[in-house]
Amino acid sequence: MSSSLEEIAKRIEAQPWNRPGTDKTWVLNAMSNHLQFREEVRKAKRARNG
Amino acid sequence: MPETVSGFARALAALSEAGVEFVVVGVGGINFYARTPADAFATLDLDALVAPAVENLELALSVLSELGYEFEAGGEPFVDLDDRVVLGRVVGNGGMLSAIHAAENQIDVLTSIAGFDFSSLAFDAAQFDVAGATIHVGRLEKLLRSKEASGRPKDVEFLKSFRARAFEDDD
Repeated sequence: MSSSLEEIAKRIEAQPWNRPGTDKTWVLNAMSNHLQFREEVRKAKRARNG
Repeated sequence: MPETVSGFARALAALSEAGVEFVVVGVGGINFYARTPADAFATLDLDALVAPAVENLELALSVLSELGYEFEAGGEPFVDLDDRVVLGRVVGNGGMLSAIHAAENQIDVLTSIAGFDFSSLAFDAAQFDVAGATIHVGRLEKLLRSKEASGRPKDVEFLKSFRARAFEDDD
């Protein structure tokens, strides 16, 4: 891995929002919301295209 | 606990509470390190690397099945959830099973990933809370290195995006 990417990873891991034990339920909710949005768009496109 | 809990969160919490040994990897794992929802990367599924033992895989499938997930292997339905001979082949081949929930989401249950074995990812995995359960997530550096090691075009593209976004944050 390039050193820049390694440094970026270490810097991000050290951020306060990544402390051990932080509640990350929101991450999975965000991923789920994104998938639901994609599904709604897909349905709308299918309906529009008859 | 937040007011709403997604299917992904419920599934990971249930796996953890049942004692399944697993580490979240892939783009989903990388997203755990995001600061806000806007910083998370889009992905169609969540990757869970399970400890490569038949009993562990069997337990994982049992938990997900109870939550309403159905399974596929190589695009075909997979129903041998408690057949230890078949599960042994999955583990032996470093295979992957897709756990699909019709109403919600897909979790890929992996028994291997590029660049690292389960133990080397698990021993220093980050521990975060999800829906009241402790979830182990691969170290960001290792998840990125795994993407590099896979060499798949989509992973190469992902790393370009990740790097570009990280440098934007520095501006």
